[in-house]
Amino acid sequence: MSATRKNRPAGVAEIEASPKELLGFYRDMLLILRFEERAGQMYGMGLIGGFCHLYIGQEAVVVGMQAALKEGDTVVTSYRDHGHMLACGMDPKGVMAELTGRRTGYSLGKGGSMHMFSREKNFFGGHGIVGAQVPIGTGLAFAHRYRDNGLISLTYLGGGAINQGQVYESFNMAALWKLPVVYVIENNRYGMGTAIDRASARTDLFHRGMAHGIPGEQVDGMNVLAVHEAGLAAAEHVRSGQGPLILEMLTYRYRGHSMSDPAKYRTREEVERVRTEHDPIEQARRRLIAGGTDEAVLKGIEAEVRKIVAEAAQFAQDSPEPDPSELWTDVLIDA
Amino acid sequence: MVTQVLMPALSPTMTEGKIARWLKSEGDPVHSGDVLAEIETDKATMEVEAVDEGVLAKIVIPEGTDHVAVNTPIAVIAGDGEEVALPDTAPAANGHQQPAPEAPRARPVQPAPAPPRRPAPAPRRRANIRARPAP
Repeated sequence: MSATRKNRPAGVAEIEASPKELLGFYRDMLLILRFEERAGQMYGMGLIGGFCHLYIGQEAVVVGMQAALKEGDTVVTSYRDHGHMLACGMDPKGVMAELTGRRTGYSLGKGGSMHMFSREKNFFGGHGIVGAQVPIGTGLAFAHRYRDNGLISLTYLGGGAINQGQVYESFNMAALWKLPVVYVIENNRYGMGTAIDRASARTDLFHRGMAHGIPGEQVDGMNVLAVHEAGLAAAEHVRSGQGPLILEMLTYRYRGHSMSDPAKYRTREEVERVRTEHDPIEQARRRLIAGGTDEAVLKGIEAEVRKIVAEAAQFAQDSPEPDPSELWTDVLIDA
Repeated sequence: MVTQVLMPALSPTMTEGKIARWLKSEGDPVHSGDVLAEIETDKATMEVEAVDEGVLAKIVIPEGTDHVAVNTPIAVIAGDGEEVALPDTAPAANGHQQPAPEAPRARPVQPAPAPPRRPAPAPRRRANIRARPAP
């Protein structure tokens, strides 16, 4: 099957969505934004340690894609995973408590930002090694196919991971066995501190599956409606047994790669320009207002979201740390 | 609601830093995501973004100040329309155990006189504010 691709330049076509649906997207994106801001703040106060990679600016990708999934579909991603977890419906309290290393966190306080999972919400992590989640996501798709359960695997990766060898081994197997996997490449223009054109011989990442006959599509990742529409089509394609598909999301992160990144590899003007011209939440807000939604409704959502985040932060600070005996649990050999 | 901006730990090992530059002045509107200041640490110079929204009511630690301990209040943000009455020794008045280490030292002379404190007006456009998308 020859690789086909649909090029969807940014800003094209007004995609329709019901105000109720868009309002839901707005709320979900706002929750991620406020949660991430608070996590950044708590990191600065010394309440969160270790690694912390914020998703601010990329909210539309995960919210649009999650809404395209069916109950039971599995999700796996990298270490920039707080947004994915919230979009999957995981409890903000449990996520924040894990960030602060408390026993009430999703991994009992032993995993941290990059190592949270929820079988109940079908979220398979949370992985620190760049690209490691791609074979895992492909394996999940293999399981779905093997079980013939009608489910699909959503596998997220970034512009840095796309040059990992294991990604292409996965692509080959997925295409060969027609595994129901959608690979979502979150291209935020940088692999840590390296611009994509300095790291990749070819930057049209949605083409990366061509050698294996995997079709790809490029999407304006700052437009939640565009993401959702692409997600729906991709999910249907792979669920029907036609094999894997690649979606390249053109997105952007406003903060550094992680909390300790001074981000000297890009200008402040670039960040400001993207924020002013393409901000995903602002776009949704403007559409809602233009469509007749009352500002008071949006203010209400803002208040609701802030309350959820404040409660999560408080819970994360009030919860106790794990008991020292937990050093000997959840390890390979019982001590 | 009045919020204090604290000196953040920009790395897990950071204990203190220097306020290299304030990118906003007292009275400027603040939106979440706006860069407030540049902080010099032993490793790199990092930007501090605002999380809370409102008006930068007071810069507590002036630029150029070194050895500012993590979690020291460095600025105050007031919600829209709020008046903030603050004594000059804001850190001490708040009963913090760690007053700004600079308190005994004379404050460096500001190049321009500090603008008079006034009730925070609704954010208005000024030359040094980056354009925001129209709502």
